[in-house]
Amino acid sequence: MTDATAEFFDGLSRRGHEPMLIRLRATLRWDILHSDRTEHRLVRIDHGDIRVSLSDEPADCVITAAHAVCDDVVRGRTSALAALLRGAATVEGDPELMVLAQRLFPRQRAAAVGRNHLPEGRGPDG
Amino acid sequence: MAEERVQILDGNTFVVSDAQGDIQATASDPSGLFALDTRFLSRWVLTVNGERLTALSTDDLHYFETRFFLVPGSDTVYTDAKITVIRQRAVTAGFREQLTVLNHDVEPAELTVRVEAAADFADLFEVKDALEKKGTHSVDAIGGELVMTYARESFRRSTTVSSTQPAEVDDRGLQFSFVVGPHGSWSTDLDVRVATVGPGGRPLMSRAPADDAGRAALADLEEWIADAPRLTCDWDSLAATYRRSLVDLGALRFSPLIANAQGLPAAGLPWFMTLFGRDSILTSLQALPFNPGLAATTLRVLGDWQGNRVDDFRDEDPGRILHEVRYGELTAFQERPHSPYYGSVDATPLYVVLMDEYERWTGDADLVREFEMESRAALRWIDDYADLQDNGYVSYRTRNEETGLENQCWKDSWDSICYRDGRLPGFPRATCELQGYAYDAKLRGARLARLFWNDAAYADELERQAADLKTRFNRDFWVEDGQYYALALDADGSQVDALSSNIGHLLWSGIVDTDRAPAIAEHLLGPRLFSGWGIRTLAEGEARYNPIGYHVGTIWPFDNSFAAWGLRRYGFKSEAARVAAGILDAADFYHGRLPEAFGGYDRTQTRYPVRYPTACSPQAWSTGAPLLLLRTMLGLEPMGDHLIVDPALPVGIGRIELLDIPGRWGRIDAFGRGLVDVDRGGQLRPQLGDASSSPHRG
Repeated sequence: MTDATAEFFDGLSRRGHEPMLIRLRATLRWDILHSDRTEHRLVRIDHGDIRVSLSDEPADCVITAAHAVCDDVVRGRTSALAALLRGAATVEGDPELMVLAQRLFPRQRAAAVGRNHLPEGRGPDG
Repeated sequence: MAEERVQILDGNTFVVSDAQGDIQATASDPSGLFALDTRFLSRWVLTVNGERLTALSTDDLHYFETRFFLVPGSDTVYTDAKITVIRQRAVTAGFREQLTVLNHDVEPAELTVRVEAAADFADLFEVKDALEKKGTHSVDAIGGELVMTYARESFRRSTTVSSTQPAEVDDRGLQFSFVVGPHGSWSTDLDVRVATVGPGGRPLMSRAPADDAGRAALADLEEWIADAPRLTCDWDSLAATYRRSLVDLGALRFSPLIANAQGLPAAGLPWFMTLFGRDSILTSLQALPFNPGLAATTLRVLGDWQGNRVDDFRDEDPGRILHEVRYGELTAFQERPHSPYYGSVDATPLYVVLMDEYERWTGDADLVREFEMESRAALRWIDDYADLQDNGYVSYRTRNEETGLENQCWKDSWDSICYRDGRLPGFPRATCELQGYAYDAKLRGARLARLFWNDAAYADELERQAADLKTRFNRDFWVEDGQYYALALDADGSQVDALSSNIGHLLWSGIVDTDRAPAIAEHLLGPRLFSGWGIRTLAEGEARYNPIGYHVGTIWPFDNSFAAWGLRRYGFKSEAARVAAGILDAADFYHGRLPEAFGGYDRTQTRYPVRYPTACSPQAWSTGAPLLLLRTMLGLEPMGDHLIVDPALPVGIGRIELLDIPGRWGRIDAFGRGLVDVDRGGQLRPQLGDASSSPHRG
């Protein structure tokens, strides 16, 4: 992956700690759908300490979305909730973790400016 | 559409129908079955032998269940009174309707019962603004079920109607043909299921099984009421208002996506059954002495959703507490910013206020420690993101000019913030109550930092900032020729000089200099602001004053409850009791259910509180107002592990006992007896006594 999603997970590994998540101990998995394969990223959060691995082992919360949708969420072109409501992503397990996972995203200015910048990505069923 | 509408709900699922139980929505008519801010049924019309029905009576069995007694024929002429139809409807994940036909004749009756059904899948925002749909509708009559679907790209919503009796199903409804014997009956259950379908046909969000929902909701409500303090008093109207408030607050509980089935107050029925930062926080504050659990859930959920990035479309910043969440199509496609929308400037400081007040009542230090980072981020937001003019005051200006909110304080209508002469200021606007909330948040944050976060240096810093803010505020906002605080500072830092109810909130926040408090109390109870029923949002005599202007003259019960709390804080017991008496007396005219707002007409002019035309009801913070007024009249104040009780009740109220008040002390009782003579000129109704001449300070 040479894209926003890949950069996000790489950056997360390097960052290693997120103070806004110190109350959390949980595992989150992203299942990222490409046309021919599914990529897995497992993120372990232990009182703010973060470890990222390429693993499909069970997690407390699993987020499934097409690669383009992941890119849009990471860049802030769409909110995770909007993607979920649109059927462009699914969440299994504890939905609270889906909300808190947004604290992993870069805190810079988001690119979302509403309907003029609707993501081109399609849902994994489309 | 008949005037009478019945509203029943479970969470954010609700039905608005006419008195017959029928739904005949139009593009802009707000009836239907709604869930997740989407209209899943826009037509639901029952006929017997081709005839519409007339309601004999409608019983609300519970807030989620209604029974309609009907006879064939329209209007008042019963063409065939030998048949009775009973519709019993309970909201579940959709709704379940038991249809029973009784034949009272000695002859058998040959009947055709038809239920017309249609779904437009309108987003709530589309209903309000009459917008067109962009996706595709389809209808299938398969396997005895009617399946209505809406699709737009990967967005899928569906409504399925089925029945326990075999039906002839076509694209427009279900039909039953049968014979009922003499004095016999026929019955079927109609099940309306709503679905939000994600990729692979999986449900987007899981829900409890429909059958369990009703029972669970009922058990919940009884437990909810049993768990609240018991009120006994001499004033029957107050007892009824209290019970109504508890039931309505129970109905307004809403369990958002991430609350693990815990409830927090949604803003109002029917259009605001969703998470609102400001409304949920203020209602939780009002309800703290009665049910602290609402505050805990509110703090957790709003803390989880706290803003993380700078996002102009959603008016989001790191640390900001959300304004509103919506789940409909327009939100899904980012045609509206509610995923979530952060355009509220008071919710963030009020979050810290609620955190502190919650701990003072409950002693739940764990929550304060668990949400330390969120509370700190909220406090940081006040300085880093809310000081738009770089003048040390909290102000607002939306960064989403198309679909964002112009006014991001509680008075959010277009003309609410105005000068005396009626002009409207530019943006940013720094309304006065925001400075009070920020001041209070800093002081309360300091207490939390010192006691729970082990950070005395930060506490000192916050206290320094608060003291500085108070000094500057009392200099810059004070309107010398009126002896009150300006409604706001405008973009130039000049005073928006109208006299408004916002000064009541300033007393509550404690930002008012003690020597100025008497002047504020005098204004709040003076003839320009006080109508006899309550404090007007804008004073009589201001250019935009209008007794039925949404935020420019009407009286808001919630606003008054916080003003009363503020008056108590500064020792104005008698004045607080007068405000409480006026609002609680008004509640009696609404059978205990205070509307969002009522007219600002003088009490001597109308003799009853005139309802604001489109007020939403029940509304959470109106429902919470009698609770906070009770707290205020009884003078309940936590002090360490004790609860101080210092009653100052209006004379006519007589005796009040509030038993089993929950808190860090376990359960405790409070007693009060009416001592404060609130009457003037025989305006108050007999229950409140009618014998007075002039008020005295309690």
